[in-house]
Amino acid sequence: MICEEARAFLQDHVDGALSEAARGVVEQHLSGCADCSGEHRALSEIHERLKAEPMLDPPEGFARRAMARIFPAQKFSFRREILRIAAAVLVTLGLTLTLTSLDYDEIFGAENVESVKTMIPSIPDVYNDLLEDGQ
Amino acid sequence: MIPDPGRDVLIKARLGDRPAFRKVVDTLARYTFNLAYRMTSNASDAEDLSQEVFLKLYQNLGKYDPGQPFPPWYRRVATNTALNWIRARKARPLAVEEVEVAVAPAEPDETSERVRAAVRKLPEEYRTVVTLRYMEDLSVEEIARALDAPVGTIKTWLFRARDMLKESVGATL
Repeated sequence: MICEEARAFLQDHVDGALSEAARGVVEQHLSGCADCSGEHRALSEIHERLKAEPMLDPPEGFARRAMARIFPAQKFSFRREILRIAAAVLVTLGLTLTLTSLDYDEIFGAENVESVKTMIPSIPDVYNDLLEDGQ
Repeated sequence: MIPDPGRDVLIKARLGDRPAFRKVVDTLARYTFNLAYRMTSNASDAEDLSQEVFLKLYQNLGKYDPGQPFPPWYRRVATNTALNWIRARKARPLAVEEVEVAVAPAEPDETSERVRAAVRKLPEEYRTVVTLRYMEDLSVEEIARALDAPVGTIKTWLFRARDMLKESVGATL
């Protein structure tokens, strides 16, 4: 095996990803080649250092802040409150104006009651009283 | 290794139970922060990215099948969110002097710090495969599945990444 071939296998050797036969061939080359064994040592060192990297603890309040981002609290908005009150006032005013402008005599007048009575022949007596009052 | 919050908690969290989702976040906090820290190289960005990962988890938890193992599914969510986040931010590799040290290693070691700094300077894809390969001890095939990329591509990235690391650190070894 020449150096160029050996170097193509060095990383897999460090990873333990070579077959037994391939590993043997690479190791035989490494034992007689200072350049390639130096390369192999450097890769092994990096491999070990990376694997040994310590796990860090998340900062204080980490989970709480993550939850706050996902479920943001509804903030008080002065503008939104004013708009909500204005909308309520407008609806109330509109209803009041509509109800006060209706002509109730016309709605509940004799003519209408009579026509209802015609449509519903079995109209209860209480409505007859209403009819008489209307007249 | 990714901790598993447990089937019952996950089912509740899927249905919108907020305390159950908090348990999921608590369980995954350390893993997620470390993954994010290795991908971004500083604590502030790592926290921002972690929050993005948890937001994605919340939005996609309905797609998780409780009959399947949770850790591989979460790994896909976390790594893909991290890659997209980094691309969106157009994250650049940081110079050693720019890197914020969030937590000092227990035993400061010049070679380890040089390796760490060299990892931070890797292009994002290389940094991702190195992180998954060494932080989680994933095989090339598992990394390919997690990143939804061909095995050959992962091998190439890993090979080049280690080659670059060796170039950066090799002189001191």
